[in-house]
Amino acid sequence: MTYPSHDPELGGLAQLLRDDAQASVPPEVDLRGRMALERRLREETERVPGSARPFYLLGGAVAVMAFVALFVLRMRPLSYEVRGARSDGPYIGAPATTPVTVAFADGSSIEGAPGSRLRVDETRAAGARVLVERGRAAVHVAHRTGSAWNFVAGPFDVHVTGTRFDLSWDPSGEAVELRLYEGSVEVRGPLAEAPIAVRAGQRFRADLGTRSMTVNDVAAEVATAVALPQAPEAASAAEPKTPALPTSNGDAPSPAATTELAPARPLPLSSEPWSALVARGQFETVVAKAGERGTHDCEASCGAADLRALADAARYTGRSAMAEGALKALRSRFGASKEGRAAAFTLGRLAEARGSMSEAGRWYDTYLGELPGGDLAAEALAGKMRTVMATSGKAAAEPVARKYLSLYPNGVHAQTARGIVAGTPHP
Amino acid sequence: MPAATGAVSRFPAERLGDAELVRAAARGEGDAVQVIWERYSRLVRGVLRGSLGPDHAIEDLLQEVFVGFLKGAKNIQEGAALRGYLVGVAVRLAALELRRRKIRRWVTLTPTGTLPERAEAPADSEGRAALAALHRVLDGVSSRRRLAFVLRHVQGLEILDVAASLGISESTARRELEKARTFVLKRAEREPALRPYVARATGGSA
Repeated sequence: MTYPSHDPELGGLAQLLRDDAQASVPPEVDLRGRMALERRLREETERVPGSARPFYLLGGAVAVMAFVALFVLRMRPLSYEVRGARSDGPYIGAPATTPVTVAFADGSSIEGAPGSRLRVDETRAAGARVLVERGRAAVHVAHRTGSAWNFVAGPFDVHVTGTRFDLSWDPSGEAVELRLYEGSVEVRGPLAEAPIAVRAGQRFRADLGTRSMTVNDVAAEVATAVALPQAPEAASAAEPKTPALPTSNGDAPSPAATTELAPARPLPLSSEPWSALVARGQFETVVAKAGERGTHDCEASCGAADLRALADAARYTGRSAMAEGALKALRSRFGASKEGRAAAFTLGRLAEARGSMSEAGRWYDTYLGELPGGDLAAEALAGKMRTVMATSGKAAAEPVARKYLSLYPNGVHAQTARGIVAGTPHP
Repeated sequence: MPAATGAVSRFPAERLGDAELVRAAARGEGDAVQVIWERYSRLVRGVLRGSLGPDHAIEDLLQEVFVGFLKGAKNIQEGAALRGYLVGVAVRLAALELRRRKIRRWVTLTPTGTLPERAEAPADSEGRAALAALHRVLDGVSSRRRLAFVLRHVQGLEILDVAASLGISESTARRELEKARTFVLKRAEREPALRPYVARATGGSA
């Protein structure tokens, strides 16, 4: 779908939101949504119309009263009771041979396996923070609007809104395992900068000792890769490790459905054009494909569109050197093309980002010389203004600022340009 | 003349127009519902995601939109306007969610009232920071203004459609959009992570 450019000044910001809004969701998420809808449709059609109608009014009245009561109650922290064991304040230890159940007022419950130890660290109006200090806990969180639960196992924090899962923590082995049956959760921990999504049918396991994390897609055969920043210690542990712990139902994870999360591995390679992959945000896949082919080979033989896509993917994943290589190849091999000429601007951006202002200025000049009326001309002129200012000072930047103001009086950088002009003594 | 024999095959649902799909969905035909999902789930998810940013609730809200449609399909007068109907429901749910967030901030259920970043955050940390900054900026405008902004600039709706989705007049929609635009541009200038994107505005995408 193409979108009209309603407002050039908002173009970059709107594009940012559009890219995010259009980011493709994993197929299993879409499939789950589709199946849930189908289930709801079945429920709707199987319901006998009319029989429940006389109760609508009564139900409505009850609902209003319930709403009022709920509003009052929800301001209070959730209460809970412990069954099957004696609790010592927030500490709950399950006996060695029988489980313990913690039942919350909102219908959520936690069953601690025999020998496990839990701590209800904090209760809030719409959730609680529970520590699994040892052993396994079978958790069912009742989904409510605004509910927010945290389950902490060692240094891992599982954020939950409504779901059912098993969570275990082995403090001696420093290993956590999470198996999700319903909904989705996010796990934050020291091995990953970004939170990791775990969805129904998946099992997450992390081992602090080997600094490894895995997500096993047990239910579906689709593996989802999550790129993680590689910790220095993890660099030596490059070989994937199959989780050693058995699953809660005893089955062994299928190697084919296991995704090793640390170190990051590329997504399965696709035959789609690279530009399409970039458009869908699959930057790692593009970089991986280029890597398979050999980055230098690609620079020497890839087409202009692929080089442009590789440059974008490399930039978006922080591989500036690879991006520069692709852009320079684009210029040297396709210098007369639109992509080749536009590459000068991006090379300027990359140079500016690493602080090479003189080089950045030269690239902006190159762009302005080759495409004076190009799409990025205003931006290149602004870049030139910044680089001249950085290398030669305000006085030298003034003519550039004046030129910017004459060409783009309402441009995004007009205020900066006016500041430069105003701060320079006029001849 | 011999009578024609043989089974009459059903017209494939994916080739039905929206009006026929709505009628079929109202009759409880699963194929039609699947086609509607196929056709519009991406759009609706985009509206929700653009309006709310990274949020655990997106998939739940997406379900609510379609379940709401299933329940109300029998009463939809203009099936051909299905797209607008679904967008309208999504907008209303997004508005409710935005209000809920404000209330949550008010009762300080979480320190900031904001949800964690989405799990499938892009590897591009610069882009992630910029997106978070942009949602922070959008948090500063009213729900209606924010939704108008998203519908117009992210979903590319015409002003009349924006107004219809929000249930306001065209002139009000214009005013809201102008105010949102001014606010966003002004605030984005102050956000370091957004400067490259504001800068792109005059020249297209880098």
